[in-house]
Amino acid sequence: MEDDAGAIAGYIAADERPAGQVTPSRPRGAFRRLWLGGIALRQLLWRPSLAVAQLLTLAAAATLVASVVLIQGRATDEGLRTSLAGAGQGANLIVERDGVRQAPAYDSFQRDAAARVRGELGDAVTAGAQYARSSALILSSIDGVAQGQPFSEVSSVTAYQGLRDHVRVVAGRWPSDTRVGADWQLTASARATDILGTVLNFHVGSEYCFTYFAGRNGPRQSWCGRIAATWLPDDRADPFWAGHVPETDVTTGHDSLFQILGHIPAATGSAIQQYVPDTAHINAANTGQVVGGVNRLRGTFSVSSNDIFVSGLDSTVTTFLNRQDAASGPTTVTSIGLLVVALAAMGFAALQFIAGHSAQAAMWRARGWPRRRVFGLYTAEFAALAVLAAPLAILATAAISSVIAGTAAGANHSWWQSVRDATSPALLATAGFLAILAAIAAALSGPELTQRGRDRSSTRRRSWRRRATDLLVGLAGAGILVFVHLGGTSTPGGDGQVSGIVLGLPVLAVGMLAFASLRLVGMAARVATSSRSLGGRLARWQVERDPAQYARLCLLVTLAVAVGVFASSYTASDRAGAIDRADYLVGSDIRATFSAASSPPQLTALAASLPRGTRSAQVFRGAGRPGRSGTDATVLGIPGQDFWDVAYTRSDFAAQPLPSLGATMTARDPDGLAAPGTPRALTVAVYSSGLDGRAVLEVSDAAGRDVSLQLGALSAPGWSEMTASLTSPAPALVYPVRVRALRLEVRGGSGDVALADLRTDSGAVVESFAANDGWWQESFSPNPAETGVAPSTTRRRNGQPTLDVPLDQQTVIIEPAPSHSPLPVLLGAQTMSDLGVSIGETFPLHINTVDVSLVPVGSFAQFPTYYPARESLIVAPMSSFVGRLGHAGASIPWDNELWIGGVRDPGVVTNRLAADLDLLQTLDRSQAETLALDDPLRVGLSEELGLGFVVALAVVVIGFALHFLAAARSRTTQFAIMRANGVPEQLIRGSLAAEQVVVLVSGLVAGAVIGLALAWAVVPVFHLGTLPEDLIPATPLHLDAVTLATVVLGTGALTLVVGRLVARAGSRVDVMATVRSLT
Amino acid sequence: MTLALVDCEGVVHIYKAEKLEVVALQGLDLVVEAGEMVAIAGRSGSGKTTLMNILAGLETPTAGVVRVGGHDLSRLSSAEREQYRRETVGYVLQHAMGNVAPYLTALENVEAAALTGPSRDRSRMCAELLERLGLGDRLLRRPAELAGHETQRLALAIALANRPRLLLADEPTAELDTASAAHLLADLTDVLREQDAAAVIVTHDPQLETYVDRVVMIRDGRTSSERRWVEREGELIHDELAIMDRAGRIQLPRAYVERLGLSGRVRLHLDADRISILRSEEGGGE
Repeated sequence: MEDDAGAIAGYIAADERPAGQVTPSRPRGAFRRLWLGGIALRQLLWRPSLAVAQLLTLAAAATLVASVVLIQGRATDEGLRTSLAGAGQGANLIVERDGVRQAPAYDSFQRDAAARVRGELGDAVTAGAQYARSSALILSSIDGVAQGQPFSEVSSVTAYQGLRDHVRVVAGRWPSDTRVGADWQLTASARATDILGTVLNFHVGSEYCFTYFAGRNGPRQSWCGRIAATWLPDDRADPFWAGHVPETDVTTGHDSLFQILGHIPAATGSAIQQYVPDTAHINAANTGQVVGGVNRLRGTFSVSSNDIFVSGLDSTVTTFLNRQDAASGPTTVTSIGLLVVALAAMGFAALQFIAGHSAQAAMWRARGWPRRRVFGLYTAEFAALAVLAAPLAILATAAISSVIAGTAAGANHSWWQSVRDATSPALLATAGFLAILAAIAAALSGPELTQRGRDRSSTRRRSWRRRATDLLVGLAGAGILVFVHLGGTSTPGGDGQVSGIVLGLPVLAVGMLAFASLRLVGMAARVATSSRSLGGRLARWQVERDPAQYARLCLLVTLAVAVGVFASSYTASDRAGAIDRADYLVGSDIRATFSAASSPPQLTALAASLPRGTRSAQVFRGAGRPGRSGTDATVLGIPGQDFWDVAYTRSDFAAQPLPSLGATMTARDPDGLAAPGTPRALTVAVYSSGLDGRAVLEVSDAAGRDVSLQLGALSAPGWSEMTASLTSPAPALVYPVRVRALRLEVRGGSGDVALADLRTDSGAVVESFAANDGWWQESFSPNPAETGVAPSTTRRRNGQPTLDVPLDQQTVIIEPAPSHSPLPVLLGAQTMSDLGVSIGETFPLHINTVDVSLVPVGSFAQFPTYYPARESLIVAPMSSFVGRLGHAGASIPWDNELWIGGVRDPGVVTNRLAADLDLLQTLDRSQAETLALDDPLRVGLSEELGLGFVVALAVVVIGFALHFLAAARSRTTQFAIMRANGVPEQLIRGSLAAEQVVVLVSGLVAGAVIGLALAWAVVPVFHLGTLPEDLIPATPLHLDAVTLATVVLGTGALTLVVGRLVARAGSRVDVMATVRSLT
Repeated sequence: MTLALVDCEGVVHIYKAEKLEVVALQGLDLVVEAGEMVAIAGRSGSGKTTLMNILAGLETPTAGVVRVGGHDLSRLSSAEREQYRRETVGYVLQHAMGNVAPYLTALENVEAAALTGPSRDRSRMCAELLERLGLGDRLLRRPAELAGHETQRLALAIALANRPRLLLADEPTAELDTASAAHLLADLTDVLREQDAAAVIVTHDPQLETYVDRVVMIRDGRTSSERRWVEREGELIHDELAIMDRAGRIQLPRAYVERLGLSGRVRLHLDADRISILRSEEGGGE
């Protein structure tokens, strides 16, 4: 007190005011001065729990938004990098001018072109080599030894600027750029010497002479040079090479090259420069600039001028952007959803904050403070919190960014780079939320000034349930989700484009459902507190007395759990869908395609050479035209059960499972000779003139399994009975068994083989070969042919004609005549619709110059490797279909794909396949799955959802603690009176816990249901691309029970623990002090 | 004829509590002259606080006319109402701590409320006011550091910070002991006189009646009677009069009614200089 008086006296003296006039002393510093900001700061410190909760919520919301922005930007950048890396050299940029013979012209072009490229693309591309290259020259002699006619070795002489800086000398000495005597000093790639050295005796010191033929009758102009050094590139990935090391050219210096060109007047040269995309400088922000720059350069060089300009950079970027555009729907909706959650959290915290200060605001209003001043006070408080929240948000965003960047392959992101990246979005997000808080403050800055006003407002608190409005809104929300789901599933195989309105509806529906779910609060209160305990009844009274207050908290819990459940379900479904689509694309563990241009690929032998445990199916893939429809169709010949053992399928591809559909087709296959009964063996009489070879019987069973059965060797001359066991194959054959062919494999010698009496072990004749009934033969290398075969009397058996087949070191397949019945096939539903045919309706297929009659016996919506929007598909039984093609004389009627399953080590299998010279392409399911799962757009969306849940959980915990802390404080008097009347503290704590359970049970149930419903609705709608490979097969809802349980129970447990702590703290009351204050 | 500072005529106020409509005031008349100190007394629920809220510009009358300092309170816009609260009235709420910002010092509390007058002198004037109310050595103390009577003094200083023409105080001495209340009222009376302000003070405190010009009793939402000190034959006498409103209605004191057993219909007799109320023969009387 003395201090105060002294301060007053001092103030007066300093101000030289008249004696007796009282003027207060004022502490120095802006903080202590009584401006609105000062009041705001002190009001914040007065209620620190409210301030901290609001601060954390603001920081969390800003972090969420900023992180989403960064994640999306990073996903775009990563996607771009992946696309550019996938494009390989196709994304490089090459500028070339032909007809450059003079050094000044060359130098001028290189300078101007480099300036133009740099001007248009800046850092987006890294400059590779600039070089001059002569036209192709023919190597005429090495060390004076003339190369033989024709001079087949051609090469160019090139001059790379700065070559020495990018190579290491392997042999010789690097020459100066000067001509030595009559020679020019050359260098060459050491690898070229490896490749060509053995052929051309090519080494350092060799003298090379080249000749240029200036037309048929023109002069021959020659020049010679000596290899001074050979080199190897320091780094083949060096952008200098742009993926191409000149291994067949010889290189020299700039001046030498133009002297050489001067020496050969007829030859010409080119000036070339190359660039590679710099993925560090191509990002979401400058893609338009890059594409525009490439287009302008193309116009400058290859349209306006006569130069050559080659680049796939623009198309690569554009393709990615198109894909990203398709993915923008889901990412935008997800972002909006997360923003809604952030806003809900922010709104909740702000309402709690303002409610905590409303009594003060009312007091100020009663003192005549205008509304704008109260608004200014709130805004100043929020601004002060924003100042603290912004750096928190920046740090949190940077941490998240670092974690995410750290998980990205090959990422090299420093902490400070993350902070720099996070600063702008975090500041903007904080500013945006501050504006929203200011708007909330503006709406609530005129609080009710009397108790009666609050009473009046409490009479309106149940209005949201009036006339079951909430139920109607909830039903409408559910209807919207059904609409969205149907909208997504009604267009399987479509272009994947879903309107923005449809994509925006789920957010609206979630809001409506969350609103309706508030009804659960009251129900949960009745259920959870049905016990007769006083604590339970207290909780129920509290909830029913002010349901709106609990509804706000419940809404927050509901949204957070909904986000978590949706994130879990969507991510699990999306991953499963991505894997499904990768598997569908490949068809099996590994699918290899072979060339069958001139001879049948040796797939049986190749399959037999694969590691043990692998299974395979040989498949025919070709293209035909149904009737005269003008529609091209892919025909897939599949081998029955073997195919389904290795092929990927899913139960929703057709009305019945595809294997079952395939079995229907196989069962109706009319081709092949049926062996009556259930024979244990088949026997055939074989005559051999004594050949080095063997006979093989090919059969198929009722399940469509094709089996090769050994009959015996052909080495013994004369007739013999050869028997093939039908019981030996594993698994056992399914009867009836059909004979497909007899294969005669002769490795050496020539002669003939005759066949007679193919019968079962019970003696039933399958084929006597005594009559001409259409059997035909197919022979292979060296002279493939298909011809009919007829019985002859050359080798009679039992007086009957036999089938005599001349052989000359070749394999011949003898096959029965195809049936006259149409071949059963399966059609894609879309194909069937396009062709206008129906089940059972026969139609011809024109394929490989022949016609095959087909009849559909079933249809499917999807079939592995089949994309309805891109092609039509006909699936036929392979043996019969290929047999009919061969019988009709079609070209290349051979299986050309190997579908391989049971692969343990894909690398081993692919290496084995790569050794086959006919191999065209190998697709590996594990690689495809990895690529799909690593898709940056997919990863980015998953990260967003995960982050969204974590932040939502954080704000729920904060909100929960805040709510119940405020509730406990506001009931201090009530608790004190209860305690004074003998109610134990445990019971009070129990009543608070019961309230928490009510809110949690309602929120968890509603959130889980809404999250699942949302996932169910949007999973068919959300696509990350528009290509058929991005859409087919459709993604079904896939639930990851463990994650779901973790989300729901984890949220509940964490929140309850926090609630428990708050209840413990809030229920502690100083009974005496409180009661004394009441008296 | 001079206009009264406060002129309430047939004021009716109805509000809703839950689903019930409560008639808090049912045709209340009240006149307060400038500089006059009036106490309002009455049982709980009689409408005292409602009247104060209306006079403070916090609530609007459902019917009737309330004029304060020339302002018709039922016709003020929101901005005018704020200005009215800022410039015309000062209001001390019922509980002392409800009047103060606990995180500001005493001086800051008053300064924060002082929104009128030249800002350069505001701080000095606020300090003087606090000094005048006995808080000169408590300027930099926060409310939690003040005693109960000091907090109440602070609340009065806050209400008087803008030099209102009318001070409204809802039971300002309810939380004080007798001595503190007496000191407070003495100081308040002086300050009001200095500021030439009128005051309407809700009270149950009999000693407060000695500091005010008159005590208006409110019963069932109406002013029923009025007590004042009058000097008769050199002696101060406590004189209580029933109040007749403009429609000629008066409320009979409950004790009179009960004593005579009046209920239902009564008979009125007009004599030369008085009106007598008699039990009706058909009434419930004897």
